[in-house]
Amino acid sequence: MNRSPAIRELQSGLALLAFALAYLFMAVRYPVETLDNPGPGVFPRAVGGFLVAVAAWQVLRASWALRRRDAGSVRTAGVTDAEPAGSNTSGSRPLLMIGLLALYLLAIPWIGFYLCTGVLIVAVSKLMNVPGWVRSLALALGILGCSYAIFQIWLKVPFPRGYFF
Amino acid sequence: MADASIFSNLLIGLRPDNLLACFAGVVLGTVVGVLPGLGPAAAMALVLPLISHLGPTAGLIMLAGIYYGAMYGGSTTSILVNVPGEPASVVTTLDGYQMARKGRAGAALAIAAIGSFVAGTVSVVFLQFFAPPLARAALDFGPAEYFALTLLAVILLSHLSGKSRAKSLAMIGLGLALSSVGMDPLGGVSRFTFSYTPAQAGLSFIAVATGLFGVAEVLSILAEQEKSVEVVRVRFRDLYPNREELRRSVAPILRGSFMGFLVGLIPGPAATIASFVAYAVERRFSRHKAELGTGAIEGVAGPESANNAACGGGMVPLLSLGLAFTPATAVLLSGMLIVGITPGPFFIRNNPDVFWGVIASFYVGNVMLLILNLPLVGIFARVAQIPARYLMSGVLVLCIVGAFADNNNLFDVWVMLGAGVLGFAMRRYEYDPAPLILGLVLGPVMERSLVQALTMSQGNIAGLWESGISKFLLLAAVAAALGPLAKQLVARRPHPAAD
Repeated sequence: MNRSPAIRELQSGLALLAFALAYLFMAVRYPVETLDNPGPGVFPRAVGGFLVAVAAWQVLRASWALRRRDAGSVRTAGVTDAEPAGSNTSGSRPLLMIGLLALYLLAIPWIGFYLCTGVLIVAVSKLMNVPGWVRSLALALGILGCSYAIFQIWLKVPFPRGYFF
Repeated sequence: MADASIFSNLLIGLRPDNLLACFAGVVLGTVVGVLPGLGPAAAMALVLPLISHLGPTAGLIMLAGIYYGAMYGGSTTSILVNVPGEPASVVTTLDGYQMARKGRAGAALAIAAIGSFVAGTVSVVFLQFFAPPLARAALDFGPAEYFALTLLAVILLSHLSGKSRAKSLAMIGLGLALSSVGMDPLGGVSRFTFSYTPAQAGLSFIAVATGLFGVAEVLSILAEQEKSVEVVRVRFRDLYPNREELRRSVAPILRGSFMGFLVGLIPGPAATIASFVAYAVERRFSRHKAELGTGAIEGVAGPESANNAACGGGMVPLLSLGLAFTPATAVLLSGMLIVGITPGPFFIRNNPDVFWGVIASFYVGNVMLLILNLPLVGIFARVAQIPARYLMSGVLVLCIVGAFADNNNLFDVWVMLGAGVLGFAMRRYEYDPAPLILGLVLGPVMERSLVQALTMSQGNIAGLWESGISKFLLLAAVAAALGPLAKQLVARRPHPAAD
């Protein structure tokens, strides 16, 4: 986790470049037609080209910074030497949360919004280290009650219902 | 004589039934603004069946109350939990949330309310006196001018965080790319949808914003394993802005009010653009610009004033010319048609009682909103004191409900989750999410105006800079793009004195 800022810049630049190239690759499939009747491909191509250029510039800057660092220079142009905020972090709990949210979204059409959300709140509260099950359950009931009153009854939001509720 | 009739018509806005309609509108608007997902246009549409029973004046007063009430409420969740309630409040998260983390949530909320009140009142004064000439000036903006304006906005407003310009431009590009998902605005061809029907409507702005800000915040707090998130304890008197904060807010509020009103005259997502413009101006002109992004009061005062003033600006083309430039003003236009009023140049002449009654209600509504919001500041600020382990479950559910309620489909919640993961990664790699939002908002407007301008000029690219306005805007865009590069080159040249 203790990677240098220049390597992080390079990683993010490469990820952006990969996305930009994939986007541009797809964008060229849409027709451009003529300039007096521009087709749906004009804007995505322009944006894709712009994105590729910016991402390539980002990768080049990071590469130059890495090369300078390897050459013994401490300075990294446009890149701070300090570790960014949040770098002293753990990746397992956010990953668990992302998995939990994906499962939650898959389950909603079968189990329904309220039951799924109740289970989600309890699970999130445990991930957040809320002490004891009673507090977690109370938290879930409180949030669900407020959601039901405000969104379902008052604002008439049609939450998905499953086989259970 | 004319003044006397204007005065008597203004008094119509103070009739008990109109005051009640105004109160109901601003309260509903504030609640809708606080809750992410349901925008003012949706809330106004919900009460449309009611307004034929209320009559033209009270009905329109209620609809307008919802519209500007939502702008007041939009800042609340931005400041307290980093979840923008409205697109126009995205910029408020930059400094508002930082202030909340320092225990100054109350001050930020109070300044947002005061700024909104001043801006709302200033915009009504402008609306009252300058509506017809301003509306005619706004009509000079055709597709070519609007394309030039969006291009200038993209270049000028991308650099909000003050960190890397390349990263900001990359995020703008990403936002523009995401905005092209769904049907293209003129031809109706599905793009980047992978034949998935719910994606044809495009990516919901609310889903992306709640994910980038709210879900990413929850994930970041979860990731901070060792250090627990600090909850700053504050005394009651600290819940309100101190003299220094009030003094520092005066100029940003006035700047935001004036610019917000002017931006509001132009078609498109004016309130959102106005808030970005106001923030960019503070970055340029504020005496405390170095503090922006770390919890500076100017970063709340300017944008919050601007987005409210833009509401007043948006009323000018609607009331003077019958043109609706935003979804919310389009619903207001529908409301006018429902109650039998034909909007347009003859609206003021044919229905002076309704026009001046609505204008009077704007003044009264702004006072009501201030009276409603200031006492609530203390209560809302206490929300920021709740430990994160309890608060974050609620924030997550708010994000989910907000994303779902925008279009009532689960696809948007998946988009929110994707945006949350992206936002979490962006934080770790120090990318600012605000420019991405700007790209997402401006993308459709930019594409539509580009295609329309090219079609109108029959494929002649020179048509993009034929008029004086577009020429000026495009030159400004080029200068804004090349200026920083030239500055860097000059700075790198060895100074003769140094040799």
